[in-house]
Amino acid sequence: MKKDRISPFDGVLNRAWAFCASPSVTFVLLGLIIVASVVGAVVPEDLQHRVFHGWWFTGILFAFSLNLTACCIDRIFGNGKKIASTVTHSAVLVILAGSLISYCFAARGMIGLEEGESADVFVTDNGEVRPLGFSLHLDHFSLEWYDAPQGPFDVWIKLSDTGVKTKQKLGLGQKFQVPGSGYSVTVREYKPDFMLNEAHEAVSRSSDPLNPAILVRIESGLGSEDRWVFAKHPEFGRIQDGNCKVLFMHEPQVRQYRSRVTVSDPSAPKSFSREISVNHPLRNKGVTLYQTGYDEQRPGWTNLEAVRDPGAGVVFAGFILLNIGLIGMFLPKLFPRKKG
Amino acid sequence: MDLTNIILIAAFSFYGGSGIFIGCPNSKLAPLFDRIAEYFLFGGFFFHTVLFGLRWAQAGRPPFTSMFEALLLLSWGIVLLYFFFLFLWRLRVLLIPSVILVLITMGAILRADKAVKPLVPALQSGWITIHVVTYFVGYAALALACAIGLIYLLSRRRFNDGHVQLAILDDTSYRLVMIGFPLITIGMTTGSAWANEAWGTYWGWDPKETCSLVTWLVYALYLHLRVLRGWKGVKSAWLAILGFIATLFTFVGVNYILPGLHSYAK
Repeated sequence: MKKDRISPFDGVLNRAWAFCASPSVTFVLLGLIIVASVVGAVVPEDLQHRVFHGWWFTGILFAFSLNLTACCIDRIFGNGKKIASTVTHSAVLVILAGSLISYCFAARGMIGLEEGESADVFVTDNGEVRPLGFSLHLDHFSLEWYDAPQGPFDVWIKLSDTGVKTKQKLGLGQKFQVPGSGYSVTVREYKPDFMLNEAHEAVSRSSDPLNPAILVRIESGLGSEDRWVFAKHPEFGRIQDGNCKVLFMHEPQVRQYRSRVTVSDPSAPKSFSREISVNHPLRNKGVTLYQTGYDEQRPGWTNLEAVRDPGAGVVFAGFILLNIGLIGMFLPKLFPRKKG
Repeated sequence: MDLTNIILIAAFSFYGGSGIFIGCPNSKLAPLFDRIAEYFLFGGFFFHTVLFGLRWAQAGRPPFTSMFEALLLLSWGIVLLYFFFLFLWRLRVLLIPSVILVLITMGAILRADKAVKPLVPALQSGWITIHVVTYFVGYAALALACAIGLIYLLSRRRFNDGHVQLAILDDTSYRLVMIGFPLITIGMTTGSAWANEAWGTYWGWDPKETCSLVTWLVYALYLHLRVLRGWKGVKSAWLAILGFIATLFTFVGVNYILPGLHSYAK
């Protein structure tokens, strides 16, 4: 129906709309987000939360969402041909909407379990107890290490009297003459998990590098001395009247850690068993369980993180749209169709 | 000397040969020298690709985790893009910046630690290939866009505004950003999906994530200002340079200055 009179209110609305959909506003807001993000990246970690979850940063993102919405609506009604551009910009809105859902409704918390223990709740960062919706039983936890090196070993040698400090890679049986001194060092044995047995002999408790140690022989004018040097206990490395200190530099690296769990759900006919490891979470009834931690001192103990995030799927849908939209935008520009 | 070093030196020698020919004084023979430089570049690219295959076989995983491997991929992406532009658009304007950038990167590669390191659990994922390859080929495009931006600014002393040479440089820089931006977008979004699998959150405001977002926003600004405000030529060149400074900080600087979940990427 055609309007007979133009209300003065229409002018105000039009100006407000033009402002909301203005590219100039977009540039200012993008600039503000860049500056705020840089500030958030450089401030200490404990202050980052205040930046990225602060009311003013949320306000900038909200204003950006309004601006983007107005731009998209303008584009849809103004020029329907720019489909890829509209998809791209709408995708950013979908991602922001998903983030908002996550911000408002996501819950995450930790579950610490010993082998044989069960849990049906998780405790959030705020201390709230939330139900998992099923019962989780830890059947077995395993910690896998990369193969312990059989050499060469990183050995630091420090001499107090001459101030010599040198780092060498020494293989088993290899002798190293410390330059400018009468000292020589030889690595004679390696035990990945050192312990003394009842007969006070050095043995390895396991093949895992839980207490790596090397037996070094130091020879000098004072004679020769054999000494076990431990990667985790450098205080035992002083030899030969305290003048020579040998350090064994070795940091064992974890290959993977896995929890074998059984999930029982009263509403499901059967329980099932599954393994959770880093990069292989378990998803069940809207909850995702991640393998996050272990304790070397407590074998058989696992730390899992439970996450219920209804926004994640929306964000990933936005990511897919964003990539499709960008490819749709730039491919025709890079490879324009030849006319005629 | 092991096979890795032999092939690396072969690649570096070919790239060096290319550098010698592009460095020859401008004369009537320049087109011939450029063509020879191109053959050398192709030879270097061949050995570079072989080195990738060898590294993959040695490590028993995609070779995209250490600084050595990242620089190897970055320089490989730069040469790949040169041939991409050559075969698709017959554009040779990228020859000099490609060779210079690849020589700088290869110089850093020769000094980098070449040891094959075991992967931490978070890196043992199928996402690594698409995330890293798209990011680094994207970075290569943005590095070239920055180099072309610099050449544009330097060329303004020789050519007047509106000269066809300047227009070609400006258009090439824009094309490179149009290639690089979707690639870093794929890299960022796949990285986010991967983070969700490994760490239980798709976005944690980790310094590396934040810097990658800042880089993405700078290039988004570049594209919007160019399309909506007509920022071409000098302004566009400066934005391409600014964008690459952000890229460089995201790639290298953040690993050393701002610790976070991505600290293994040193």
